[in-house]
Amino acid sequence: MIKRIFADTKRCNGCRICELRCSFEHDRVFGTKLARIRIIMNEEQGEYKPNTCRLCYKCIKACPENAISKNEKTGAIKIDHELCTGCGKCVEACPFNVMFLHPIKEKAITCDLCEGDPQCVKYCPEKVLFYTTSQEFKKLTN
Amino acid sequence: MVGELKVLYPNILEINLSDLSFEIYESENLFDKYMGGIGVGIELLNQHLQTGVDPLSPENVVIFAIGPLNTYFPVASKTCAVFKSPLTGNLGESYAGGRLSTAMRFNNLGVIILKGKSPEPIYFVSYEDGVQFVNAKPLMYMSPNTTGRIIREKIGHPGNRSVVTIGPAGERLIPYACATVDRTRHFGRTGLGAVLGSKNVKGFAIIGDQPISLESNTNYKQYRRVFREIYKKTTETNLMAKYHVLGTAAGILPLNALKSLPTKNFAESYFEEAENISGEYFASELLGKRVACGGCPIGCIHLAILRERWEKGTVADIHSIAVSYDYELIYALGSNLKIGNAKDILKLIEAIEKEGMDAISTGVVLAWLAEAYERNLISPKDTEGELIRFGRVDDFLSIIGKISKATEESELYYTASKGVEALVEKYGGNDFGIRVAKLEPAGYRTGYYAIMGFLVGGRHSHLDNAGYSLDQKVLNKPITFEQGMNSLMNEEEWRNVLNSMVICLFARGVYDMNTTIQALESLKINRTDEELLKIGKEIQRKRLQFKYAEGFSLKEAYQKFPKRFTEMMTAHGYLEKENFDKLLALYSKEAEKRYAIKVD
Repeated sequence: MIKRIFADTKRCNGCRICELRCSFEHDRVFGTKLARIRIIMNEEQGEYKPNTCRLCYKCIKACPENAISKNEKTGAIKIDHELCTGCGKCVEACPFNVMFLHPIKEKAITCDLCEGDPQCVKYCPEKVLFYTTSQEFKKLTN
Repeated sequence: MVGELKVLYPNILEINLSDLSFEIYESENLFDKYMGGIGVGIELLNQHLQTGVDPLSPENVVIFAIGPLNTYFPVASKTCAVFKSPLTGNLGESYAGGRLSTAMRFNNLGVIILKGKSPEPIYFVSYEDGVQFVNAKPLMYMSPNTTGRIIREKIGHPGNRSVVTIGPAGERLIPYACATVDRTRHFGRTGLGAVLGSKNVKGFAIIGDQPISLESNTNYKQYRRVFREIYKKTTETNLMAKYHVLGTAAGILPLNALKSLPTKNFAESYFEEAENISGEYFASELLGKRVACGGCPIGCIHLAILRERWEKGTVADIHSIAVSYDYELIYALGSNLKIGNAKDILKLIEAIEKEGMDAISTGVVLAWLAEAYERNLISPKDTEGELIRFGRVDDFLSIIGKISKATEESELYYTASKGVEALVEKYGGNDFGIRVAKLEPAGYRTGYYAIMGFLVGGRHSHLDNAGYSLDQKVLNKPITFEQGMNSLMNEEEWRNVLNSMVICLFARGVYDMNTTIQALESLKINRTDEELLKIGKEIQRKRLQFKYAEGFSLKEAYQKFPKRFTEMMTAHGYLEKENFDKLLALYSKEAEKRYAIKVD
């Protein structure tokens, strides 16, 4: 079974350390626009929902340059920035709105599961995020 | 672009409201010299504000400032606001969390200066490349949160913005009106809401979404290490656990047990119904969710769900609202009013939130009214037929709006809208007029140092020097008065340093001297112990200098102490006037020595 990032959204407190940590690890910057995990915020209700790649692989099929593939070790999306032209086809194809264009490099970016050690999960203070299989996640949250 | 935002050299946004113009310029060596937060704030206030101006005139100036650690480190999540206070008439200083400091950081703004007065009600939005002024006439007299919702709908950029708003109380220039940040946080104390109202600023939004480079701004390896250490300390040790689990409301039961919980307008120090309004009760019965300020792993903002039934005959029969609660609100609107029902406290919080008033000041004003009514100092004619009785939530609910909306014709409520000091001047009742230097105090009847802390603190807040905490520390370890006053002053100087960073003071246990120095060093800011302490002392000198130049009189504030301070039971027993005299003399002597200014 492939492991991916799951979120027990009810408990998310909106601190957004996952976003900061993600951009920190990947680009050595703090920037919510550079994060591969994003918090969807409903400020009126105080509801926050982490959103990241579900590994549906629709982007792989959508890429005209064959720049996107599956990381064999983790099953995560792997994007070859040498091949990526920033055409945005994958961004359009992503049903969860978690494929982004890097605002500076103008190449596609999405969650790469940090080579199997996702930093957002590690640093989530509320332990909202889990790196696990869907079966395990169900058990954990029941 | 990444890399352009530097820790020490953020920009200054200066807005002249009179002609709705703005200027963005570099801060040059301002942050290098004065750190940030209150250090930068007090310096700029001195530069831009003329002595003696009316706090509600266009000549007043508001400075918002963040500091070097904001966003870079966990729990460095506050923004400092400095201005001349319409409530105390001297230093107005307030701190708020939410996402404001993060939005300012990602907008590359270190400071926002507001000057003048807009000809019409407006709100403004600060984008990456400039400021837009928007007509706020349709928003007039709306609650802070409705205003916030409308502004958010209009400006877009969800998730990358912070919105500050005022309510009707701010527009009506009530000197203890607050400014609300991102729904649940407030610049509560000393009346920022009224100052914004006097400038015709209904609110403002900061959009911040530029990435900041960690590589060029930090000693990267050291930064990673220090970040990890601070993160671990905040989440894995018990240094901050209480703020997460029960929140500040955790203090209700211990303070009650110590006979230090102000009850019935400070007349009593023990509330028999404390169990029903304790942090434990709120958490188990009413807590809906904990949320966090931007970049803070603690999540101390406790939102209770207040469920209310609609009137019979309506289709939807129930509605629920999220109300944020804290220790101070539970004291001010609970024990101090003898309200022993947690839901009733939430109703009061919500009513005050809608008007946009500081909950501590409002609670103490309500308590004075209830006591004056009980003692027949004010008559039913004064109250316009309203009953104002301790323990009756409906009495208080029906007068909150009257206070917020009062005109001069409605004498009692109009005076109440100016604070306890004004009430005492008009109606007497100084013996139970609970305020220190015109500010209604936070909820601590712990002993001498809490009260003296209020008196000698730069902004007369319990957070200036935490006298209430010193009182508790010395319960089993007595110290001399001289040591006590020195300790208060040292604490205030150190807090000036932390307030320059600008960290949340809940994390003061995490940011000790060594950690602070290392965090700064990892951002390429090298400071020694002595240098930081010197900065703290210098800031204190400037804060005091500002106060005395604006006419603050320590002696006068002391003489106005309500008799109740010497009649009340505390954790340290009854307090005696002679000892207050001694403490004041010790303070004056030491302050003159430390800051080389005449303190009287």
